[in-house]
Amino acid sequence: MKVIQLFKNETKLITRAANNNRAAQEELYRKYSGKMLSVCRMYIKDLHHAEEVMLKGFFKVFKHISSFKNEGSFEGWVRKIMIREAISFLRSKKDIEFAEEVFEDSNQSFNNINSGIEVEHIQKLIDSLPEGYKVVFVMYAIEGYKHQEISKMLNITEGTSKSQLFKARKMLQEKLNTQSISDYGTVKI
Amino acid sequence: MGQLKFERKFSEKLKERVIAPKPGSWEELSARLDSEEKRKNPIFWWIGIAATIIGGILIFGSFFNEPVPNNPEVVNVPVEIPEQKENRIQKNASEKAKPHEIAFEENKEIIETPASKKTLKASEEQKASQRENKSAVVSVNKNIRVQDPILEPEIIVAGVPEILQTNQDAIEEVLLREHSGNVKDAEVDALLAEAGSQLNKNREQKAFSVKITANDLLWDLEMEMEASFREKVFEVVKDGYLKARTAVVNRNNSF
Repeated sequence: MKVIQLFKNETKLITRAANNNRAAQEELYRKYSGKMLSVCRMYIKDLHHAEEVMLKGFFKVFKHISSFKNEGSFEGWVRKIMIREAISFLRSKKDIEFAEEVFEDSNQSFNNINSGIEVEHIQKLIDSLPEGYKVVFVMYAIEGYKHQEISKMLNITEGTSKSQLFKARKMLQEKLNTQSISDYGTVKI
Repeated sequence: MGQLKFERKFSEKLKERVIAPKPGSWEELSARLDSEEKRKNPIFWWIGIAATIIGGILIFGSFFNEPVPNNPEVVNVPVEIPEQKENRIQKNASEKAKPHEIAFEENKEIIETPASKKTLKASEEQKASQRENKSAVVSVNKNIRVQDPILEPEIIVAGVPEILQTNQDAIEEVLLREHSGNVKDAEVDALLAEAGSQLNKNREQKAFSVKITANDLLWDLEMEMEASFREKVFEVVKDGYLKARTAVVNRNNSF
């Protein structure tokens, strides 16, 4: 009952925001800005830039909120806008590069490291990845996009997307392994 | 290739993460939204202003394009051939003269009616109509004189008032008698016949009287001039001949 009530409330809020009600817009912003800044931060290393991208994303959200048909979750819709905005930002900075490589499905298996590391550390690991690897990894491993969707959004081939993910995983695995060796006995594994 | 275990952990932890934006970020966003609305509004304003201006122009245009009744309209006049023009002038002249002709014809009818009365049976109704005609003729003639003073008096005078003057007494007498009811057909016929004979006499007199027109005078003068010139030529030739003859005689004498 509570979930239905919340959904109804959110629908009303969205309707009011679509009618340029600033209070409703502010309420939606306060509700989702923290999460959306986190999304932007996953792609963009610099927090200020991430925040700028988030504001641009929210600006687009409120500009096109009337086109939201309440068919899916509002949060998912806003998140998608944020990801697109972040990719657009990276493209504008020319930071993002995807090496056109043929993906060879090697039999290399990744160790399932039961990571008990903190979120800040995870972010640092992700930040250490090259932009191309990072974007594909975040989209696939964190956001749950499929290679087909990633290839369309980034305008790359599916093979490139797969190879980028493979290399990102390998890199992270190596870093996690090195970390576990150096922090022997101190890091929760 | 599905999600790895560490990836799932990463995803869970990162999705739970919340980063608070810097204070005043909403105000910044709100200001951007306001400026966007303001930017939208001027477009509507400009559209409204443009529509008003266009409407104004159309209204003023239609107002000024309306034909002014005081100004004469420019009409394409077809070029007339001189012959047509002459014909038209003649027509106009004939039209101008028409009322008098009508009046004159009406008078004629009045005067000539006694002659034709032998064939037509005189009745009381006809008499009444004749009386109406007579009075109408008088009034028409008077009106013509008053209304159309530009016309030459010669044309107006041509016969009509003369007849009226000559027969005025007789007409008045007839009218008085008619009023009293003592008029006889024979008397009327006699009077009308007398008026007719007088009119004929006048016409004959006019026909016999010599008319001197400007053209005739001009013609006579030209003839005279021509004659004098011929005489002068003859005189010059004559003088020359005489001089030559005397000179020849003198020469012969000297030898």
